[in-house]
Amino acid sequence: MLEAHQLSVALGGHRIVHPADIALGEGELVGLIGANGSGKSTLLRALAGLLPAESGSVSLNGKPLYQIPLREVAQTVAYLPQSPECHWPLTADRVVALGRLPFQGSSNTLDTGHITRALAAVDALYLRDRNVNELSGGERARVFLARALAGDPAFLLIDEPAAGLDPYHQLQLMELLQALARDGRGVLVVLHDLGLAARFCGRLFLLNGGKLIASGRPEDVLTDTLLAEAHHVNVYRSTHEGTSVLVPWSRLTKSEE
Amino acid sequence: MNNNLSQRWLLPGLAVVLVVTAAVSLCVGNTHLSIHELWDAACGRGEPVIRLVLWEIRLPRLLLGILVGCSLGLAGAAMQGLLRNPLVEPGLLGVSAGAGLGAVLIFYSGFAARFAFATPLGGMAGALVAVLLVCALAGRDSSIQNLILAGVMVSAICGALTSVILNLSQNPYAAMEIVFWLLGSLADRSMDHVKLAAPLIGVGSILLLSCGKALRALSLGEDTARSLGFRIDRVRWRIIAGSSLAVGAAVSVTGAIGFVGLMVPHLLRPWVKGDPARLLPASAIGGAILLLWADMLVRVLPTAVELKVGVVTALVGSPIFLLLLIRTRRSLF
Repeated sequence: MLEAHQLSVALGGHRIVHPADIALGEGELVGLIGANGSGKSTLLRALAGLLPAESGSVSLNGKPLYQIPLREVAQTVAYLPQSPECHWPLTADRVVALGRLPFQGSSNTLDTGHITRALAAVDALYLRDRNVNELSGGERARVFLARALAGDPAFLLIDEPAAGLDPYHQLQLMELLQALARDGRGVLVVLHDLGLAARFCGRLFLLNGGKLIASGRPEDVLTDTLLAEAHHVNVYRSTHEGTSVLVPWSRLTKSEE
Repeated sequence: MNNNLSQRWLLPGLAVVLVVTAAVSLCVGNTHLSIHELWDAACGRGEPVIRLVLWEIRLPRLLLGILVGCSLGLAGAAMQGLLRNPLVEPGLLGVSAGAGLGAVLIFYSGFAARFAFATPLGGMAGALVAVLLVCALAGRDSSIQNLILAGVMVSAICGALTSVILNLSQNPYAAMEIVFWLLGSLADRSMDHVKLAAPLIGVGSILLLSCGKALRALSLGEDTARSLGFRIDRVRWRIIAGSSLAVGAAVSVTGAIGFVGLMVPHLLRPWVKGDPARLLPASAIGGAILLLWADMLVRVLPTAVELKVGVVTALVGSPIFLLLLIRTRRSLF
């Protein structure tokens, strides 16, 4: 279990995330939603141990994160930033191999078994010899996800993986994340697409202005009132094949809010 | 398959090239020596003058060339990996300019004439002060941008002060000596220079070579590298300390030799498929090879006065740097 207890985070002297309790168990796909600037990415980075807590704490399987060696955390929690970058012209298999660094001794040899499995899991084996900087957005997203999977982590923290992907690749990615959760991993994903959040996530956390204003099942979080408060939008709702469909429909004016 | 083969054989191949280059470098000069003569001199046989040329002139020059080339290539690769930028050169953080200023101060004060190692020791002191100043200005938890800004500023200050000293120098011979030293050369160095620089370059190189895995992780940015279990702040200071030691010691004994640290990692990067960890040892050997070639060139060029090796590396390096810029622009636009 990856948990945050009354976690608040400040950047440059400004509090970005107000005290919040968050828990991510193994085997669930959880969405972190909220408007731009609501503190989603900051909260995710703090959960990954990349930002210090202003107050409160993050714990991994009951132990405070700062008491666990970095390498051990890296073997259990994988973090995938928004728009992941690769500064050198590395091939896809080399990028995926970087996910094995927390497990490597001084050896330089590629851990080919794990790399192959990770690439196969995201259906990107055919890309293994391609320069990662020459791939399309969808292909890059899958290769970087394979990098995160290469360490076989119990928890995956992923920042806006669906941004910039076409509908086909968005669905492919979300189905993949769902499958990873079914496999027993805990997946916390930052999403802007409320429709994807409603359809694929088992639970949601909704942030507004750095405050966690709701958490729970999608139908309890994606209410008209809460979406009006956090996103300032009206939504169109329907059902398709027994699943609720939600589309942001109109912006709310000040008087409507 | 071919790529794997080329990667597997890259380091041994470079090592062979270095050994051959070193052997040729011992033969080339005002007095051309044959391998046979060299062998005799190395075994303590043959003419005394050839033994003298080998042990007192060629060998110190060769060893210094290898040490300095290694440190420049290695520090260049490490700094490029740390800053994730192929246009970075090892003197970016003010080390070279600081070492230059320190050495020039020694020339100006007249200590250089009184004590043989005053110049390199002054250079090392200058490099140390420059790096400490950069670290103090950038702050302990500073960003890479602050570090670069501080380095550029300290380099500019050191450069300006060096110019002031040259301007104020009343003795034209001293001024000429300062300018010649600043151009960078391996000539007229003794085994004592090698002994002075080798320990610092050795420690610096070990520090830099130990950062390979972290540099590999840094390919994906600082956040991802930290999420992979690396203390990036420690890696950063290890690389700064390592390159300061290696480059500071190198510049202190030879003067500033530009472009080796910039060119070599860039030229070898395709051979290691962009891997910043494999680039470290390759650039170290490559730097030594390049500097030895440049030094052999200054020895065989029929110029009235021997060109300084720093001039040759700059002459060769500038067009390559330009090419690099054009290629980078093409990839951006």
